[in-house]
Amino acid sequence: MDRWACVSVAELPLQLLLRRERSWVRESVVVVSEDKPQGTVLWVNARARERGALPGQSYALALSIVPGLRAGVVADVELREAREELMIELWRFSPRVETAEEQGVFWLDASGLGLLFPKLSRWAHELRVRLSVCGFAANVVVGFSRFGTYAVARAGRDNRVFTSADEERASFVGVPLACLDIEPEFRDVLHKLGVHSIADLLQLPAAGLLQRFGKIAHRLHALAAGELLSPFDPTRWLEPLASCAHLDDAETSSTALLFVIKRLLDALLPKLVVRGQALSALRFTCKLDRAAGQLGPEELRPAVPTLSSSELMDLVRLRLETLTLAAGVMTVELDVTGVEASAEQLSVFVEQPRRDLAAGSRALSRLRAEFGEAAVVAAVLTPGHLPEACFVWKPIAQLRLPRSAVRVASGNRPLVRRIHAKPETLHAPPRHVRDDGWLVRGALCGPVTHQAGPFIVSGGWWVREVHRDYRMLLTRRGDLFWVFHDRRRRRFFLHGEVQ
Amino acid sequence: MVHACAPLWCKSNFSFLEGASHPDELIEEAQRLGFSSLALTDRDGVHGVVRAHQKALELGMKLIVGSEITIDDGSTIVLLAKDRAGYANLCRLITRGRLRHEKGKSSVSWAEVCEHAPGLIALFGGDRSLLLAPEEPLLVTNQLRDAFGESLYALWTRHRRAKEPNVEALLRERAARYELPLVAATEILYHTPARRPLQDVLTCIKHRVTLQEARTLLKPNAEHGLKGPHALGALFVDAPSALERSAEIAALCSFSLGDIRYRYPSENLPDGSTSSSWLRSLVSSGARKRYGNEVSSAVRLQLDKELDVIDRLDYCGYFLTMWEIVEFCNAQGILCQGRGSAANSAVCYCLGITAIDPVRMGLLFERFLSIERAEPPDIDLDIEHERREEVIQHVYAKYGRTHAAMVANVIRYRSRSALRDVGKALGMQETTLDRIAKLLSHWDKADGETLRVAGLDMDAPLTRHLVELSEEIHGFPRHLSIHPGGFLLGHEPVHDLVPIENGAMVDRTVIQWDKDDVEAIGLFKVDLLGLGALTQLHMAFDLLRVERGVELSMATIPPEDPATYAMIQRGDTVGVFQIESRAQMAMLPRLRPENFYDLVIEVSIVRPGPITGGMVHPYLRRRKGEEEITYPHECLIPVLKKTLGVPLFQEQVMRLAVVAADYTPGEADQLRRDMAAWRKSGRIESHRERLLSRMQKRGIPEEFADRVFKQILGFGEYGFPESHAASFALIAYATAYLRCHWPAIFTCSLLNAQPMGFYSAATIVDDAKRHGVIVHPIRVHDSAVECTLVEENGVRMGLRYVKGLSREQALRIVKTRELETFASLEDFVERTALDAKALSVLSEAGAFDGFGTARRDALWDVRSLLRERDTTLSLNRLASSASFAALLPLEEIVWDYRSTQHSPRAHPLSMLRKELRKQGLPNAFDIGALRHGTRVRYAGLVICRQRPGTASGVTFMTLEDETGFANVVLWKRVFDAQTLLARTASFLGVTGKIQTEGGVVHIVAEELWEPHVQDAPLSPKSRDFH
Repeated sequence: MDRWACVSVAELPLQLLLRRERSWVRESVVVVSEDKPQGTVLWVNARARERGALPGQSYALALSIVPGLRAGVVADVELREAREELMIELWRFSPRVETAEEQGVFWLDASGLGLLFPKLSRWAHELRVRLSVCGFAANVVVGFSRFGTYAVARAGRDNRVFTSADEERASFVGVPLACLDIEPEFRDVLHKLGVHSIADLLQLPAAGLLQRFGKIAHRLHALAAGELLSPFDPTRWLEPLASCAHLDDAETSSTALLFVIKRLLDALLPKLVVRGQALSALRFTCKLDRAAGQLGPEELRPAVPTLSSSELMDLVRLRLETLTLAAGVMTVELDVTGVEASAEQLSVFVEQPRRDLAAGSRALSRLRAEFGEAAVVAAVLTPGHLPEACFVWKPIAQLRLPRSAVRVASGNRPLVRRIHAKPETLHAPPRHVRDDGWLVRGALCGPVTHQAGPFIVSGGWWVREVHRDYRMLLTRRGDLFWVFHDRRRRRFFLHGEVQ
Repeated sequence: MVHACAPLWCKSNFSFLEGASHPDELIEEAQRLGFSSLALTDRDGVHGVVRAHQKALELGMKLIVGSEITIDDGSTIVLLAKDRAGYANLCRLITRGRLRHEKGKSSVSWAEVCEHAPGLIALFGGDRSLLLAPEEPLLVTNQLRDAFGESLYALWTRHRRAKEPNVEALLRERAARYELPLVAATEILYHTPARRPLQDVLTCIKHRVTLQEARTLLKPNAEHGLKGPHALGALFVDAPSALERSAEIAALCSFSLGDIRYRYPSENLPDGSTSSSWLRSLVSSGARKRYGNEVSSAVRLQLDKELDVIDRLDYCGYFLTMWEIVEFCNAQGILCQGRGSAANSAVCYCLGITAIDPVRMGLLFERFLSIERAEPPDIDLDIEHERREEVIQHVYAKYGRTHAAMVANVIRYRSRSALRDVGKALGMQETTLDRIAKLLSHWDKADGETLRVAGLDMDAPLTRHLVELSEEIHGFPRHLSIHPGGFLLGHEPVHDLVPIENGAMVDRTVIQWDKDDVEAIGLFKVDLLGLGALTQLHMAFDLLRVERGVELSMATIPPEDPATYAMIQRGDTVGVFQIESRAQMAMLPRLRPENFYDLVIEVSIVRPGPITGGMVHPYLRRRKGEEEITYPHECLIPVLKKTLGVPLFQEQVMRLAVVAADYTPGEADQLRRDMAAWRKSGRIESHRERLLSRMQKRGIPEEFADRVFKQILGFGEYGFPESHAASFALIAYATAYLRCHWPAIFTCSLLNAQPMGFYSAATIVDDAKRHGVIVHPIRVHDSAVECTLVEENGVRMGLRYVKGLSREQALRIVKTRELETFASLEDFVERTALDAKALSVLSEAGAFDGFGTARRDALWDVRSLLRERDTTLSLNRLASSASFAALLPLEEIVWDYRSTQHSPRAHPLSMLRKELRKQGLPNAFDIGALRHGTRVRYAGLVICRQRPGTASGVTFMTLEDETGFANVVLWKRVFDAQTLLARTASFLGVTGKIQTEGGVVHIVAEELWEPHVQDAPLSPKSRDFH
């Protein structure tokens, strides 16, 4: 590789925080390790630095120095996503991109771009502009070595294009060590020894550094001296598995669309096979005619990752049947996600349960396809005082065999309280007892003959206060109703019945 | 129908982070609701009973003392004290549970509960009770029934929860089977349902969750408030007899905290002696030591009077204990001295407890003890701070852990902690809460304006909850800590009076009451306090004896030494106890103390009391003869004569109230107490009207009366009694004498006693150098762990000042050197076996200069030597050698500061002086010679920032350079305009006008700026007091 380019997105976590909290741009801002006063300040913006906040301080200390200091945490996942986002952008400018361990640093192969960009400075400029559009401030240095481009990129804020290796070397030896991502203790000792720049570092004997500071220090020296070649190690470019069909005429038939999608899918499935993957999800979007917008993206997930076109098309068909097209479809876009294929064949050797879980999962998958993702859920118990807070509905990802329940002797069946999904409004009991009493559910059930309670559930004052007086009501016919009086709404509700 | 009943299961906020009402709130509400008694049953403790007892006495309620006891199986049982024996058993049981666990936890076994049953009533029931466990509690119930007999009840609780019918059925069935009478109650956690949100928040704080996450950790409803008899009747409409049984139980409990009879422990007495006769004998021999064989009649008369009072109050044992502790200190060579009102006592003086002769000083014994008040005596003993633990452990050893325990200190929610904990429970961002908390001062409450400035939306419900709940929780107890030095000693085991628990510190056991509780119950407390100045004095006396062959002690320091007073009058008092602060230094040239009593006044006058009372300037004017000495009324002449007609001491204010406002001595003492607690209690306001009107009635001008009242408020903040000031003045004089005549010894001892006092080591070192002391840098060849004396007037800095070098490592260096002098750096690394960090910090500190190795070279070499030592490989050092630039003079000083927090070489600004001179900036010495009103620009290192509460927002700064100090006054306007520089700059430039008054020079700042020099100097961290 004859041309290296280093892209440096300086203070990436800080940039991400300010991208998230746009109103803080003019304020003193720091990134902290955790949302606690003892959290360590990791990154400091210029305004905060001017006022005395420094990395390594606790937030509490920094705050005592800079009143009103804003702070936020940037999670690893956020950084990972940002890195992926940056990689995608960088791949637009070079097919070979390497990510450094250091946050916000990337190397690109800048060789052979002459046909597209007559001047590398132009290429670097466009790359910088592109990242700026995406919300990242970055600089690009094009040169002849990994270390040289890196050092100059970290030291400055502007783009640089070196025309010779000597020019690059002359530039990077003057870079202060403080600009590089060196282990802090090592950097501090070097500073105390009066070793401030790369040139100073190169004055020290390599063997002496190895002896005193270990391999990492020695490697840095060797890299700077050009004695260590570190080959380019680009991240493999995985082409998104997506496909698109532009239709000549607006298509309104869902059957025709089904075949369009099938054609697209059949083209993508072999690519998954090449990658050793099976399809775990597919998404399709239909762009409509006459600027009527688009339909989707609609996401479908098979019961288990599969390469079966027929099974997938069955799900697509079910989903298409539920959709209403406001206008004819002009374009269909399809993309798929794969996962490493599992050895399903092994299941042949496993004793099969009497219940076919795979078939059950397929059925649920079809239900999801037809009625939407939230159609298949199961109740999971949670701690809570309000009846509706004692469980949540959670989508079922995987079917499991039911556990055996304790059998109840016949004739001694336990009472079961059936809870209404939405409490039913009731008439209040009569203020003055009349002959016909409180008819909770009309004359058929008869009046209330016994009641137990009130049992009070109240709380939630910090968001929306709730106060319910629950009672069990027994009617003359023997119905057992579970009602509550909502003090705030001043009304009675039927919350459930006991069977 | 209203039933006779009593709430028997009430938990106050002393069930830490569970109960949401103060004990007195529960009592007040119970009385309002019509109850005649209430049981306080905090979790595993009786922390709140004294406060409840006082309120109950005030309202004519009966307080039943009890506790909810945690059992080792996780269940609980409520125990109530029927009588004194029952209370002692309760305290013992809690003590046993507490002492087997770390601070804050407790558990006992069922066998232990049964063992302590006599005199107790047990209420077996409640949510966590074994009686309601799924398994049949046959064994435990039988054990309890055998132990408690008829005093065991099944506790039937009702909080309107849906699961209760099933639980009640089980309870009734088991109660019937075990023949336990049912008693109805609710678990009370707050006095009114309005406190329910706070109880939820406390639960969240306890479990470290937010309200959103808490779910079933919170109570399901607000049914844990105190209900009146009518409401309880309605709740237990189906069980009136169970409810009425609560009143029967209340009637059975006859114990009151007033029943506690306290006896101070008897000392071991010689055969045939009583406490009284032994005390008299000790005082008599002490008097001969103090006054010689010719004890004057005045002294004899005073001693007889005091001994008579002590005898009549039966306090002899207490004085004997204090004498024994002082004797122990003397025997062990530990310097100690009594402070506070004890210095009013000639008996204390003769026993060697205090060092001030009250007869000679004309101090008032009644301030210390009086028959009328009959309150426990309060003797505070200052002990050199590094050896206080020895004395504490001696007290434990002498009296035993059962008869001696330290007094607790209740840590309460203040504005910042309240805001942080409540905010966290509400799920707010912690960094946001920290930002708001930083905007509050210690006493502020989070008001709307503060929150708005912090960027919170005041209309948001969450913010409103934050404000309201933070205010409610303010003052709530958070946890117990240990009083700085208070001991409770008892003739009977202390755990019969109050439970004892483990402190957070190793080997510390603490009672569950704080000093106010102890005082309210009439128990005696012994205060053993640490004082750095005594450590310093002890070190100085030792150095004098060993190094200079001079025997000197507190008693033999030459009194009234003119040279010492001349030094004090110049305000040249860095490191002198009590008179070294910026404000004291500024006062000294104005007050110009000439004798010991002037020093007593000096110590007292720079205090909020005299300052807020506007007493300082009148006193100074009268002293200088610029104002006529007048008295507001002739009756006040005896009271105010000593201080030229201006009240400066606490005793004077009390006597003034007696003489001018017809207070009885008892009332005057109450005034003193209310002074100390006026912010908390607000009781001081009741004195205002009384004092003012009565004084005016006697013809004392309103303006004077008002000023006296303001001073009383100031004393509440911090005011000295004369006796206390005299005790401190004695130590101040001793340290001043040493500084004046033995500056090297003074410096050495002060450096070795650090941390203490007002100034950093750097300031002490620079000040010593300005006074001719030669300060030698740290060298591994010569330095001991501590600083040592060298030659005539030199101090060698000790290894303790190398930042990052542990004491153990420093000791290792010294011990290795004692075996054989270090031949080379290689030899040092090999033999001391120090780690890389220690070797690096020694290199940076220049401690290897003796080997002829420069600091950078040493820093490079030690790493290689270390590797050779650890790998036993012989490395080619030549191939890896490197040369480094030598440090510049300023760099050397910077390295000194970074590695040792001081520089014996030079002051950082001395290297910049040329550059500063070029900019026309004078040094501190030049500033002192400028005329009043001169406009000046000055730059120096900030060593202290201070914003006293009495100064209306004015900030005082002390800046230092190589020639001394410059005082800077910053008006609020200037501070606010340049707050960043004012708060953070360590090297600061000031433009302002010189203000000279009474020989004191200040720069009144108009503008602050950052000095522009080539290399900014490093400085030690300034000491900031806001």
